[in-house]
Amino acid sequence: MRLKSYLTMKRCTLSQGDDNFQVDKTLRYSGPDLPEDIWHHIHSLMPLRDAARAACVSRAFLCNWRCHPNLIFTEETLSLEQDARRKGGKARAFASKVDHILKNHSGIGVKRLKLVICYSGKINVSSLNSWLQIAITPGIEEITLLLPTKYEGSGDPIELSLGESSQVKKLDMSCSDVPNFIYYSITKLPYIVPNLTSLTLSSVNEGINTPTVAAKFLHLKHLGICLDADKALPPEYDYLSLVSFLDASPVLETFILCVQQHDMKHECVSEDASHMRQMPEHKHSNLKNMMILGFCTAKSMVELTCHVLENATSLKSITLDTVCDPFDEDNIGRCYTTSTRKTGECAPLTREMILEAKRGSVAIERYILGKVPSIVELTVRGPCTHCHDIKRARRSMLNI
Amino acid sequence: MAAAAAEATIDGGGKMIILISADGKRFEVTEAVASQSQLISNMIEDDCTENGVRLPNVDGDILTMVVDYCNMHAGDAAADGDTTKASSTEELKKFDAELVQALENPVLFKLILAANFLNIKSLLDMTCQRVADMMSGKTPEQMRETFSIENDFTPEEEAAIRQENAWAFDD
Repeated sequence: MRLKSYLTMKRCTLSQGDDNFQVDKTLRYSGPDLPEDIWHHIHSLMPLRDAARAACVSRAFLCNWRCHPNLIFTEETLSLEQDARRKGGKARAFASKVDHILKNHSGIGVKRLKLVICYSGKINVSSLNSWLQIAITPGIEEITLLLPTKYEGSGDPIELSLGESSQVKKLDMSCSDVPNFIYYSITKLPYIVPNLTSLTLSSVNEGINTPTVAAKFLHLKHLGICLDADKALPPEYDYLSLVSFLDASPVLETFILCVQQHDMKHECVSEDASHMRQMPEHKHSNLKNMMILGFCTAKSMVELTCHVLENATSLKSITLDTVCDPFDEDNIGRCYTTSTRKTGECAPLTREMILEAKRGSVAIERYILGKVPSIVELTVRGPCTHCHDIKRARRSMLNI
Repeated sequence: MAAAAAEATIDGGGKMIILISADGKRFEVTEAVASQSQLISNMIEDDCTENGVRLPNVDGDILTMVVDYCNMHAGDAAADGDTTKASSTEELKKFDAELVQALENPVLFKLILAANFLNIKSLLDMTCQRVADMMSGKTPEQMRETFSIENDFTPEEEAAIRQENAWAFDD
């Protein structure tokens, strides 16, 4: 960001002596004073609650608040702790505060919108749609929508009113009530948000293969896809179909796939390598980094990995982690491997998934290791020796 | 000085240039260090730095801080070839925190204005963040007092806006 400079004269005049130099009045220090645009910038750096209080300081601050660029609505930013025991609880308080703030916002200048709703069943779809309509305006650059499973007054679909938001560069969405959200996204998003450079999508129980599409994300460099399952991911979902997403993103550099399930029901990779599908005509010449968190022994997962190894001609590094740890937000790895995480911090795994993770390591050795080109750095991560002990997993389940 | 300027090319910093503060203090820095200022970087590109760069709205004591900051952060932008000179991220964080922590408001504001004028984005962000952090947790009255901001609301207007933002006050 470049704030408006005081200097209106041409660059070079600076070095031509200072006899006739005009000094802006804000630069004479009778007392501390900053120009409006800098205060505006400072105000935009303040968390929501502080920014709202600052709106009461002066008219200029009120103006800044009316066009506050960062609308980050989460339980924390709205400080909902004290609303927990009220009637309707946090969900109602969340909705009324967001509603109130957005109705008083001018809708001008919004750069970032983040809505993290963790309460299912209590948010009205029509309110949600009206919030999106106010906040998502042509200048918006970054949208994060993490929405709950069910809404009140269902029947109305959520309208992702991104119609005028073609400037959006970064989009992070999890709409667990939209079935087959990955399918929905690849067919719709290239038209709605064509300028994305970063896209993260989360889907629950994705059951339809990701289709080949004609439209492209011409600027997409970073893609994250999270496939979550209530139990096991539908075994009919073909991981290899995600190649459609790579095909639709010609300049993609980083691809992260997270698969979070509690059991694995897919057909396993088997000795008979002749049945492994290949798609040599699909090259991904810009892909440099790939990560699979929650790598499993599903045949189509192994096929996807091999496909990338064989067709991503610029690949530099690949990480295969047989564990998907949602607690590890920075993607560091198991707690015992690093001092930045506390011991015992890894997300627990079911007994089935600990066993699956062990089988996953064997599958990597058997089917993938030999395909890794010498210039590609391979990192393999497995279960935690501390947190993912099979005996302890059994014990902890008995305790429940 | 001329010898120093000639030798300076060895450590990858390129030519030396002279920055001259409002009160006439002179600072000799490498082009690489000075280029963290987009303003000076543009001037170097346009060959306007030969006779020194006069910065008539930056005082010597402020420019000292700016130059220290740029020297410390010169490794950031440079190519990762010369890792011996580049300060570690930890060191930089500590340096940055210490730089702004102890400043009185008028000095902090002067540093913000200098960072804005010289167009050094990272320094501007860091100093503005410091002010934002200082506003945090304060009441509007405390904010006004801390930063000498005039309350230009009528009592009615102020009551209305406090009412509107009541959610941000209850603890």
